[in-house]
Amino acid sequence: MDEVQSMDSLILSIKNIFHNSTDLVVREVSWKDGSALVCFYNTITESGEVNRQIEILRHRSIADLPDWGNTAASSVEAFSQSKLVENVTNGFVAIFFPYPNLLLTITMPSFETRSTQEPSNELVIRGKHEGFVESVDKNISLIRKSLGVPDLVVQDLRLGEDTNTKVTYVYIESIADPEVIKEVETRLEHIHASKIMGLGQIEDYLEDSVWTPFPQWLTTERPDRVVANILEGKVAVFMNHSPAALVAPVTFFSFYESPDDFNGRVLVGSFFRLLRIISFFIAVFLPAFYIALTGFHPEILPYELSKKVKLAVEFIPYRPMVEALIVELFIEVIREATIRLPAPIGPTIGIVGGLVIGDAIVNAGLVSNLMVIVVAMTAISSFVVPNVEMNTTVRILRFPFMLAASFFGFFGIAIGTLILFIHMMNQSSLNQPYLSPVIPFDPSRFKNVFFRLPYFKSRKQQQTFTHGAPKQKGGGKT
Amino acid sequence: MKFMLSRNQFFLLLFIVQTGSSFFSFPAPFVNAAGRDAWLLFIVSAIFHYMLLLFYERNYDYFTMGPFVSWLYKGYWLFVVISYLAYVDYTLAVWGFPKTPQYIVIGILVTVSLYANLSRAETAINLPVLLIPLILAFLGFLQFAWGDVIWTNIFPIGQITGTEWWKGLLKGQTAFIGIELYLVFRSRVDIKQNIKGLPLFVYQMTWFLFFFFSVLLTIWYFTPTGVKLVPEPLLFLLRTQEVTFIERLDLFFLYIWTVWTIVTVTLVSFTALYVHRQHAKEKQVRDTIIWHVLLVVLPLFFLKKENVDYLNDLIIYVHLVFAIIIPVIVIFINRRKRK
Repeated sequence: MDEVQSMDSLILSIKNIFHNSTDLVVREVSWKDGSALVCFYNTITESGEVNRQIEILRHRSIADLPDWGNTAASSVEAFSQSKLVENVTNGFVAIFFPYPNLLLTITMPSFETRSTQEPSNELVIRGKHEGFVESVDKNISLIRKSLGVPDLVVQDLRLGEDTNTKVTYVYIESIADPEVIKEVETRLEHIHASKIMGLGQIEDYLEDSVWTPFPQWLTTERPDRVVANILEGKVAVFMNHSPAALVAPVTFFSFYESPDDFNGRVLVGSFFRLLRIISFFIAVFLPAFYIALTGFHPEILPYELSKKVKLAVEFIPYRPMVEALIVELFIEVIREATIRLPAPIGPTIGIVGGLVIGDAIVNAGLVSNLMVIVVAMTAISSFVVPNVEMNTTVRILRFPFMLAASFFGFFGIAIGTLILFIHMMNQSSLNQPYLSPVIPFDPSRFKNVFFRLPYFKSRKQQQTFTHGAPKQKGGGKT
Repeated sequence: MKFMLSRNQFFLLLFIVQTGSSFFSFPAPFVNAAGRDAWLLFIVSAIFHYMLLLFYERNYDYFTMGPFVSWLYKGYWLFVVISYLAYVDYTLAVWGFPKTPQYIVIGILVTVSLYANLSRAETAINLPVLLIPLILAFLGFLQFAWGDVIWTNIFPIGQITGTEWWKGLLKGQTAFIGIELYLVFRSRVDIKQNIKGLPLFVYQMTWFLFFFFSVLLTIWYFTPTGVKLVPEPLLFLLRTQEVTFIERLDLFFLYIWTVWTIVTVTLVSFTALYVHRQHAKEKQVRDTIIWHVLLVVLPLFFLKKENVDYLNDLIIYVHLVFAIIIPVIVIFINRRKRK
């Protein structure tokens, strides 16, 4: 648009840039020294407010105020087509002055967002009952509401050539490890995708390893959880139009912490945290243990119990592995169906599937009642994890262990456990060891993993990854 | 391969390698050789063990391996790992998998070591941490035997003959196997962390009490004739314990011992490959795979009872060469060179 053109042809060419969308408004307005073109989408901008802002700016222009275009809500820059497109698509109002070739931008997007609600997958008993929404600005405001500190840094970037998605990362400058921040920035800048559709896609790019079942970024919809984590020196990544944040670096044990631990009594919080960690072992190993017991080592049980187990499985036509697979898959199907169905029908399916079919399947002699108990306990244990990502991981992990137990009994479980731990030791989150502070052993943080300690005992700032401390990449030192 | 060890990592690694496979197999031959006074003899052995550690600590700087010595040690560690694998596979065949082809069981055992050794160095180094709760559980369950022991079994004291002294001291060397790793990894320990003095003494006492407890328990629980009939007295002892929630404790601990042995095999393999990489820096993955293929193939030739016993007897003499004779020669030569 360097050449001098008539206003009508300019309007046409701007409309062409936006492919004649019906919600695009391009109008000529008169200004002090000639005409200008106002351009915005009326679906993501408040039209009434546009007129008010233009009127304010027009008066400033007539009054010949120096720098009249730069206000709290507007700015002036040299015109370029890419700037025009970027501003308009982000919900801003662009005013184009053809003859000085300037572009005035008024920041006033108005996207529809829901009000904050407690996230249904991260409920707490005590504590805040608010959650993130699908607007990154609102989410940052929730963080700032809890953290009135000047060194809370918020940085933005745009990703995806086609989607132009706003991604924001947040950290506390004085606490976060500069190397970790640099790493996040580098990884974000190296995302070259035409479309950014969801936070899961960004997570793929940010993870140290995508081929592991273990999540290396904590996904949460709770502002209090994000605040607690960034106060430990971590970084949180938000994406526009996503109600969740990604937090890293995290350890395996981070997934077993809940805001309720810190809102309740010291002993109660510690007890439930320990219970959650124990539930990991129950969820992963219990079905495999049962298969090994019934298939390989029935003699390990005391005689009375062993007799009951034998009676229970005596008339079952399938091997314990097949029996376990039937019930496990059945439970997974019920769970999946309960999520996908409309809310009023979901619980009904749970009752019909869990109680009616469960009872019928035992009466029909397809599986033993002991197996139903084992699988039900396993399912409940896997749901104890206060994080959906880790929950799915735990549910998947039990299948290889069941297979190993069906082939080799306890020997298979022992080998599987070794392989699992070696795999976990190989993992890292933003280059920080995944099993820290257990492996490598850090006595100063070790107790915090298993116990919720009293606040008055914490004499210094809790820092998961200390700023300026010697790095222990990959667990070099214990 | 660049890594640094903390003091805890160093001692834990050494402890696991020294106790690894031999812990279950150590008490019976030792008590058989030394008789009722085996516990006294073990105190003497422990003093020798401590002196050896002090000697290592004083001279580890001089223990540098050239390619020839390095190959000798790689051969020795290959032999150690083969004997461990043959022993654990034989035991598993007797207790758990009489019909499973043994190459499958060995293959599975070695796969774990291969996976750990193809991972970063820190993974293999930190692997012993996994055993800490298992060792504590093992020691905890052994406490159930207190009610059945006969304290007076150690009397009369001082009946040991000259031949028994000699045989016992030799058999006691089984508990020393792996001590040479001290020389290999000592220089990798963080220089800010002190080893000399109290830390080394604490390690010595941990090692001593661990084996001494197993020897005493064996003497207290079994008669001298009885111990001759039981190849793994600690497993048998666990077998006889009655707890309300479990009938066969021994089966549990058989698999815990298996895990213990696999970790030992992994650590010894890690040591051999680490020493190998000092002189052969290229094609590390290929070499790691070749090493583990050897670990699967070679034990298959020693899976019979008599072969396993033969290896267990032979390893003591080979160990003396690699834990005492060669280190002394290498240290002596290097000391002279540096003067």
